[in-house]
Amino acid sequence: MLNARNETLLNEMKFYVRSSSVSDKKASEILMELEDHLLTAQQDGKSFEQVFGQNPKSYCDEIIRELPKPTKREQLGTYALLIPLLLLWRFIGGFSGELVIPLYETIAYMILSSALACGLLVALRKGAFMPKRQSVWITYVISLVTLAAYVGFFVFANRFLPVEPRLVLHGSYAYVTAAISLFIILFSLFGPLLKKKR
Amino acid sequence: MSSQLVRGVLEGCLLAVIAEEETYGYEIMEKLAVNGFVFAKEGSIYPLLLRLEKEQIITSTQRPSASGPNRKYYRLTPEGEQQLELFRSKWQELSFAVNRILGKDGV
Repeated sequence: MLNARNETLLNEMKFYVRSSSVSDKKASEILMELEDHLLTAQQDGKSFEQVFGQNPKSYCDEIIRELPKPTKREQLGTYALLIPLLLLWRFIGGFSGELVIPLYETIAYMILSSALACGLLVALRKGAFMPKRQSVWITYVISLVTLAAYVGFFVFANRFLPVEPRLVLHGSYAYVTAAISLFIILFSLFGPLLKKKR
Repeated sequence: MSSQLVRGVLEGCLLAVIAEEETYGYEIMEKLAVNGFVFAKEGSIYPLLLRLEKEQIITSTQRPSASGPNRKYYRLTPEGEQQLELFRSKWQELSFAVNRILGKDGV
């Protein structure tokens, strides 16, 4: 077992490498090797710095440079993570047998969510390897900004964005869409777990 | 010494270590260290291993290990064996020349 300090630092490295634009499979492989190396080094009484140097961020950059880019499938997988968020929003107000999808509001919501997701990733990557106090602050500020952006969106979207054109689904169409959405939401949330179990 | 030269020499020695027997990251680093390679950080071999694997000079298989996660074992590809032979002959030429020059100065 890794000691607490090594585990924390390694987790930062894992986050930093995985959140960059690299093949997930190859990244997992190299991170597994680095973990194995650190564990053996720890058993031999060596420090984290002896293994990865004084600047783990620049070491990770060296690793990232050598890793292949993500495959098209892996890229799609990353975007697919946004889908449940997009679908969930339509059900926040409850589902009463009718689904209303206003065009402009949906587009605005998608752009906002994508921008926030990108911003979040960039900010968290910047926060990696920072002292704990600083990274707690960054997380706090990001959460507030995200919350404010969504609240702002729900308050003002109706006032500024035209309601038409909109797609209204009634009866069985609405139920089928809701069922498919629910399935996609559940699958994207729990699918990775199923894959891991296999 | 220029870092590029050191990198080239390290790469050649790494290939020689892998050529001896199928081996994994920590073991490779230990063998190099025992023979006098000084590492500023042990992890330096991994970016190199990644590049050599990408260039198909080495290849790997994963096997379960006693310590926990799967371990990646490396071996040379035919391309890697050629590279090693090339390194051996280049090194012989270079070390011969360097030794002669240094020897002449009585160092």
